[in-house]
Amino acid sequence: MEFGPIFKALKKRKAFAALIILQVAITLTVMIIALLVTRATLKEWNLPSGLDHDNIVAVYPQIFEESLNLKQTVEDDLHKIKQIPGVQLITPATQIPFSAENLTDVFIEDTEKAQSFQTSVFNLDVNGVAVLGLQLKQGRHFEDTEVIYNDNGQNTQPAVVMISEQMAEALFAQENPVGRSIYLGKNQPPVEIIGVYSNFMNGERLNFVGQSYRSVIRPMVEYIQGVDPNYLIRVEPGQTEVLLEEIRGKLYQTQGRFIQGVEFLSRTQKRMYDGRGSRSLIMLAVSFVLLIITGLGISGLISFLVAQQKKQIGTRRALGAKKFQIIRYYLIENSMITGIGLLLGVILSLVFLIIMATQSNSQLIHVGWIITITLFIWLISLVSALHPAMRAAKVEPAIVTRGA
Amino acid sequence: MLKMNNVSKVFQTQMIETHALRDVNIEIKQGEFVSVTGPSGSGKTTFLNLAGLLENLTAGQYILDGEDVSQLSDNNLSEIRNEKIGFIFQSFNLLPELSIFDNVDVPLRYRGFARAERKKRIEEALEIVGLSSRKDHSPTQLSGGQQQRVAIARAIAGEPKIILADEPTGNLDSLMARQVMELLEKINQNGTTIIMVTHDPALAKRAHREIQIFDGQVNSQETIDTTGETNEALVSA
Amino acid sequence: MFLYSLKLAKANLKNRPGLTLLTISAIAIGLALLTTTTTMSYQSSKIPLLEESEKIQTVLIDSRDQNARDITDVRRTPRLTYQDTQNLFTDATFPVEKTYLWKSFTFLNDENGDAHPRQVRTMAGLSNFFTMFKVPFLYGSGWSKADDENATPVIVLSYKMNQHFFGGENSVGKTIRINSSTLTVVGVLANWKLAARFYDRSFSTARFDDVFVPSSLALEINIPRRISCWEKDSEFVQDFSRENVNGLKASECTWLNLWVKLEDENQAKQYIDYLAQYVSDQKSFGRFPREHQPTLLSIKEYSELNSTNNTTLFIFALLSVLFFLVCLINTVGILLAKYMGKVPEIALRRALGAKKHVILMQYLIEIGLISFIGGVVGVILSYFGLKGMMKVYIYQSDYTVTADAIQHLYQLDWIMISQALLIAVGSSLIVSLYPVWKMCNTAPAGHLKAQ
Repeated sequence: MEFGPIFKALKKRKAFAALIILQVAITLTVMIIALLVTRATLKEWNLPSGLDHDNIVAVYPQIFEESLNLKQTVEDDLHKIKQIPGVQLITPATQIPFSAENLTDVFIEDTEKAQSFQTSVFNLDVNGVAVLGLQLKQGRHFEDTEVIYNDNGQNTQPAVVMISEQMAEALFAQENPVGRSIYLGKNQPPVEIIGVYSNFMNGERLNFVGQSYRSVIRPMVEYIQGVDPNYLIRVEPGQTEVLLEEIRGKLYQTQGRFIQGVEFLSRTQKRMYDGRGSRSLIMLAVSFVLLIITGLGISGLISFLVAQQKKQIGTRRALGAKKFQIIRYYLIENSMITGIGLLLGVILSLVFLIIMATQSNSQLIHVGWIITITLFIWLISLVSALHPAMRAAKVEPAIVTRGA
Repeated sequence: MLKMNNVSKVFQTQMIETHALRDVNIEIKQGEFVSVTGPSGSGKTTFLNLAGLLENLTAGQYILDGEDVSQLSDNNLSEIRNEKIGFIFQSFNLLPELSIFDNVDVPLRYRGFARAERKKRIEEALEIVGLSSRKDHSPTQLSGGQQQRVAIARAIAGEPKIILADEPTGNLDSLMARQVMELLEKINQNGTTIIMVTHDPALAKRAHREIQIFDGQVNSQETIDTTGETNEALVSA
Repeated sequence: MFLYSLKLAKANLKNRPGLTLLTISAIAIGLALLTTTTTMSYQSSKIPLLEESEKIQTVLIDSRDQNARDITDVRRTPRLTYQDTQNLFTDATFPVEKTYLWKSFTFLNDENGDAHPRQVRTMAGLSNFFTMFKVPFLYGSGWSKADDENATPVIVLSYKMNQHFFGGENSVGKTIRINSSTLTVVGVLANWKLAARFYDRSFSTARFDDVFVPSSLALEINIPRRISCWEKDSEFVQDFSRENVNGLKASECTWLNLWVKLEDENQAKQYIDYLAQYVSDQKSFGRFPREHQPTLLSIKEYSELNSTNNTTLFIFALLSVLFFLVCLINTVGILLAKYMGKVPEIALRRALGAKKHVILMQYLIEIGLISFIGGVVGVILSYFGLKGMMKVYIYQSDYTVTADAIQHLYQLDWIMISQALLIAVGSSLIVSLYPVWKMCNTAPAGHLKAQ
């Protein structure tokens, strides 16, 4: 092979090499970031939700008529919705899976320095676990009498809670959590864990830090003016928008309220990922475009080079270079230039990725992917260089006897 | 060494056929120094291209070093050019991006010699042309005559059977031209066959034999004794 | 001569269709991306109420406590307190056109419940809001000055809300409810094409107000207010924003926007002096503890600050400029590669007597032609690019914005189209001028010898 002489030759064509190096470096940087962001998004997209999200409906009602009695309205709503064919079970809910943004600090001991565990607390009634379709992993379910209903500023706390498997593991590792007590905040009374249910997705805030399944279910319904409860509804499989419209219609029968949304949890899930999803979509599209341009660019520039070097190619052919050796020469030369660009691109993207990692606390770097993307772009550059290299091989050796 | 039987070369474009060479019959023996002359457009460059395997002949037979090379593949032609033929061009055709050393190295690399072997040959060849001290220079740093000497070093480094020189002194002033010619003669004395295309009658006369090409045909093949003067005197006598 | 050159150029392009296609597509792709991003930033940085945008200014004074965070970006200056708004508005010593307003979210509903209630963006302000900001009406008009004073239950609806509740009919004189209060419709807006919702300092380009009510009435029916409270007031935020109007009025919480119309720079200077005087007067009552210079920011200045500080669009724009440069260099590289093979031809034509500038012209025309075609294709591509970006935005907002509310942000106009074509042709010519010039300068002799 002829790395040495090619390298020396390249040093004489700095501008030409710089053009390709710059393009390749930019392209690789954009590609790596776009693909790794997409990968992170898709990875979390593929996380099982732990929920039958196509068959659970979330409702967000808001009461504006001050004369309306909140407790009465909610009880009427629950009753009315249960009558709708296709509806199986319903529970009032403070937070909705996939959009739980209120985090609570949970402790396992009541001391100043106790370690805090961030989690989402879901206030549901006795149907809650069944509506979400969660499996009982340990202990038992709530009983009717354990559900606390707070009206008119009452502030009674339930004595029992259930927690998710991931929460149980975070709190007690391998020990049996059933029967243990936890504190839902500093200076709160202890509550007893009576059961552990299967994991389900809480919301983007915890999902983003890899704690997607930490949750606590508290058997409680509160009627506080201005803080209207949402509803979670378990519906029969195969329901469509028609059912959503029907629920909306039923709720609008009570004057003085606005129904902000009635949706399947699958849409709530979609919303959770949307921001990052479309961002990576744009970046993917842009980097694809960039890849095409860079490919064309390499192709064009090498054609340029080949046209300029016809005489030299002819000389090499006359001196005994075979066609494949000419092709090889240009491919090696291209690979050396591209290689510098790729090296630069990898460094550049690592810098960006590390900055992004420290800023958003997300680990994007994946060595396997970076290597694969780098090799892929190298391949693209080879393919781009192949056509002009083959043109170079077609240069007639007889060109050398044709004057200056 | 080199034998052409009824060789023709026709250039075909859409409209016209050009007969660059017609029924050429030439034989050149091992160790000969042959000059090829003829007016512009006579076909002497085509002859050189065919002889150097830079172009394929249209018809006829070409035997080089005992081997029929009329119908060889492109790869085989490359190999023969590499091993048996050394080229010297009017415009030197050095690779401007490479140093003197690397320029001489080019055909040796294609030959597949080991590193040490290449180094030895390059240094020997540069020694012969007297440019050992310049091996790390770039061609642009050399004068025309020096460049042509590098080209000669490149041609002889592979120890070819035959050297094809295309107007080797055409771009040089007379002093440099003389040095180059002396070098060629020295190489020839070591047994390498040399075919030199030139339009300079004085140079042509310095060869053993002059082949004149006229209108695509070999016109005459004069044998010139190196002591041409006495020979002529004999004839007139 | 030009036509002859054009003819030659056309022939040249047809000569190597693959290469021509390659150059055109490189230009087109790069330009499409560039035009997409520049159009987006151009449209979103359009200045609302352009003809008055230098005269209408918002008053920025800072009455917060000593411990409050310093203001590094003038746009982050808090809104005004009720006291200051009233003082400055009612004081007649500096006669100038002025208005104030604040924002709320309410529920719009009709008594019989025929149409579903809507959660609506609500502007609470004064009768002169509509005249000062040149709001177009479809039916009726704004309310009267007397309505401001008497807190008359009147409302102005947006075109969209009139569609939803009254099917687009003239609803003037009909009643509608905000939360639990019944109001009479006095006006319906025509399609108000405001470049950005400047008056509440949000400069939102996608979401516009649905209803407009007198501030006095809004306080009387006690619709919630978006307020910011500082230090001692912060514990009352909930109470002040939903319940206690009198407490809010007396507090240092900030929530109102005051706009004044000043005819020229001189008047503006005087007004700033007047504000400074006001602040120092207030200091004697123990207010305005911070060292602070009151400022004015015109709609235009505010818009320009917003667009220069739009980092997302800026990064995107920067990237697309880089992309375009890469594309451009590539195209020119490909073209030069093509021309390189023609150097002997140039030499020949020069030898035959063609003047240097004629040959130069010939190649520049060819480059111009290619970049123009690339430009046209690029503009067409950017049309689809903008459509796509709009779709992405709507998707990203989970369909809370509609296409007709934002399509003006993704629209090509003749300015953008001609700018794009100019960039395509101009930059291609500039980049290729030097190499083509050098090529045309090759001596005729050198390349002819071997022919």
